[in-house]
Amino acid sequence: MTTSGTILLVEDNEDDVFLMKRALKSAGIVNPLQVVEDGQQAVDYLSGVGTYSDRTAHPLPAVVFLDLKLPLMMGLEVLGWIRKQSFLEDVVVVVLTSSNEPSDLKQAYRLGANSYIVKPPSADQLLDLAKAFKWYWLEFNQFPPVAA
Amino acid sequence: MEAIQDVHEANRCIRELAALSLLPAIWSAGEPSHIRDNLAEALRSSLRADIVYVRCRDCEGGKAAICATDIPNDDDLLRSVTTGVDQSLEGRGPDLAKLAVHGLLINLSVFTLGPGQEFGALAVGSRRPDFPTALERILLNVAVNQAIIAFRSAKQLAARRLGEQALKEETRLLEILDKTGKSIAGQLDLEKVVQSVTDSATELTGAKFGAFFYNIVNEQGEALMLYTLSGAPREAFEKLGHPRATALFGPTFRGEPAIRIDDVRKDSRYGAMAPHYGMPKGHLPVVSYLAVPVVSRSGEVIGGLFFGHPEPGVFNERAEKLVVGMAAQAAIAIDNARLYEKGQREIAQRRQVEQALREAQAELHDHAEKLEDQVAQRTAELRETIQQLEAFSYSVSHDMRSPLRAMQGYSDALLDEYRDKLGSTGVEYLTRIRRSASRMDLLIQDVLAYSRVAKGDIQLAPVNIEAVIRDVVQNYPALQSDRADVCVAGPIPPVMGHEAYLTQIVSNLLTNAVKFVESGKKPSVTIRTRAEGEMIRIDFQDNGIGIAEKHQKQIFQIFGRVYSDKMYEGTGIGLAIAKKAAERMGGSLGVKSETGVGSNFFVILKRAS
Repeated sequence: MTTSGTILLVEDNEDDVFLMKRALKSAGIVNPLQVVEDGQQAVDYLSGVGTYSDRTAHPLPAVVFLDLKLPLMMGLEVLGWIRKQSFLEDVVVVVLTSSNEPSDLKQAYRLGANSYIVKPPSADQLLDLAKAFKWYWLEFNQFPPVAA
Repeated sequence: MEAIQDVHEANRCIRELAALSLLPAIWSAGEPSHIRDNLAEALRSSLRADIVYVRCRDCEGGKAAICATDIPNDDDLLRSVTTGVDQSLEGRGPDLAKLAVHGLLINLSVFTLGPGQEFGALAVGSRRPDFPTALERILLNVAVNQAIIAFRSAKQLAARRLGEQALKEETRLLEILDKTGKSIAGQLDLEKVVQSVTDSATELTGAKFGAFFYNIVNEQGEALMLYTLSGAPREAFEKLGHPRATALFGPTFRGEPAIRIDDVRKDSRYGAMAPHYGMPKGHLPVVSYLAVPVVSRSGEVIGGLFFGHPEPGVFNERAEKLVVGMAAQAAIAIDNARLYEKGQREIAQRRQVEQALREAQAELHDHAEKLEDQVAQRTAELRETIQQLEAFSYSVSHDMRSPLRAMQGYSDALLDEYRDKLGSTGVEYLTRIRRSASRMDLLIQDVLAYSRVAKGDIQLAPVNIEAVIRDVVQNYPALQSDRADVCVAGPIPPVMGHEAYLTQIVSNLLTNAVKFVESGKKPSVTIRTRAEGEMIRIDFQDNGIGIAEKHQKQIFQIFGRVYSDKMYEGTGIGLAIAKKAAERMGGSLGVKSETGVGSNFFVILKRAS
């Protein structure tokens, strides 16, 4: 997968989006990045609804970075929805949130998150995270073959 | 001649005898006086006597019968005869000699049923010198015997008749008593009882009017005019005062024995008192008077029964005894009726009390329900508040930290991309911005940690605290061997706790231990354990700067740090969190310290069984 798989970032905070983009760039992650700002948009994107029906412009992602505190539909709800869709069962979902509430942690894993990351407070750490992500997930981790 | 005369005589006597035997008058005459009179006449004619004197005690007034023929109205003679007979009746013998002188030969016979039972005497006198002949003597004896039998029969008949009459009278009285008794025994209505008694007793005694007066005195000491009447209308009494206080009536109300007066006008007690000094005008005419107290078993004088009759001597001893008996019955019945009334009152009272109790209970129930509702409401409100607080801290976690991320992030971006253009001052400003944002984030995290520890419901489980210590040491660079000496002296048994909290405590205590150290000195921490009953005490002894006694309390408070962040960085919440966490696990956290020597922070935890 390495470079071709789309990364979908579900994040409503534009600062966090900016910083994330910057970090990914600094880490050398060149995968196409798509951003949606709320839970409903995430579902729409993944379902291919409306604007997102054009899969050339909006391909199905291989990885989803999912914030939990989202407008319209909360992240955990989205996660629950994703894991119910058989066509999305191969998608890697990384919960990326500022919450380290044990309840959120438990629930995220119960609902089927692949990983749970607490947003690092500093840019350095965010860069470390991006680098580690690239190393672990994009270079070492194997993805199942994409269905046609 | 004599023989023929004797035979004539004999025949005559036999005829007379037969006649005498058949004389029905003697036997059938019920009255002794009739018997006596008939006997006298019969003897005079059959014995051809000149005088016959019969005396019988059973006769009315004891009067004698005298039958005399051709005897001049010689009082002297008569007197002698009668005296002689009387004397013999009284056991003193007659003076026969005297009687003989008067020219009469007297034959004396005594009617007797046996020795000492003389009840009459008979004297027959004649001037005939041969009186009485042998045959005449026989005749006389027969006559006397028959007279005795006749008198005896008459007596028995009379007694029987008396008995029959008495029996009738007795029966009538018993019937009245029985009726009264029955009617009052089952009667629980007090008024009816008393009226019944008054009526019956009036009838029994033969009184014209009877009354029962209650012996009740009100608070002022005045007698209350409560009474029942029989044989007279109520108007007859209404205008009169209570008969209580007079000399005549008083004793009855005091419970003294029955008073029976044949003629009340002649009694000394009558007429002595004001205001009437006798019978008040318009009073019922009372001459015969009978008064009986009605006394209860307890000795209380309930009242008195009073009877009157316009004629004197109406009430006899028997009537008095009967009324006394009735009064006793009445007392019991009145007691019963009063007890019954009392019982009814008590039942009514108790019903009232029960009703009041029921009402009170209902009120209480209502109240309890209201309270329960209130409690439920408050609990719901509390739960809501807690949920709001939880939501609040959740929001804090997200919404307060993200601007800080932005501050830090953009500062870093500036430093990265515009370092040359900023100059050293600009770089320094940005660095400070960065640092502040970072500190703010730490503070928020610690506050969140504290609130989580303070409110969270936790389950205790056995935890290997030794492992926790090792993990903490590994995770914190400041605790590693190149920068500090952390030594666990001896094994630590497992404790009952919550792993996250224990991690919190250990990391806080250890990081503090190596932080608050004189600069240039290598921090060293020794961890010792000892058992204290059910608890385990873990001591973290350091070689740091120590804590003065006056500061040893405040350091456990939020933001209660002694030194500024510049000197020793930190949020000032760590120990507060650690202490709270220890308490929530049923233990405690404390310190023993000396400035310049070092501190011993100890945590006491439950031992895992």
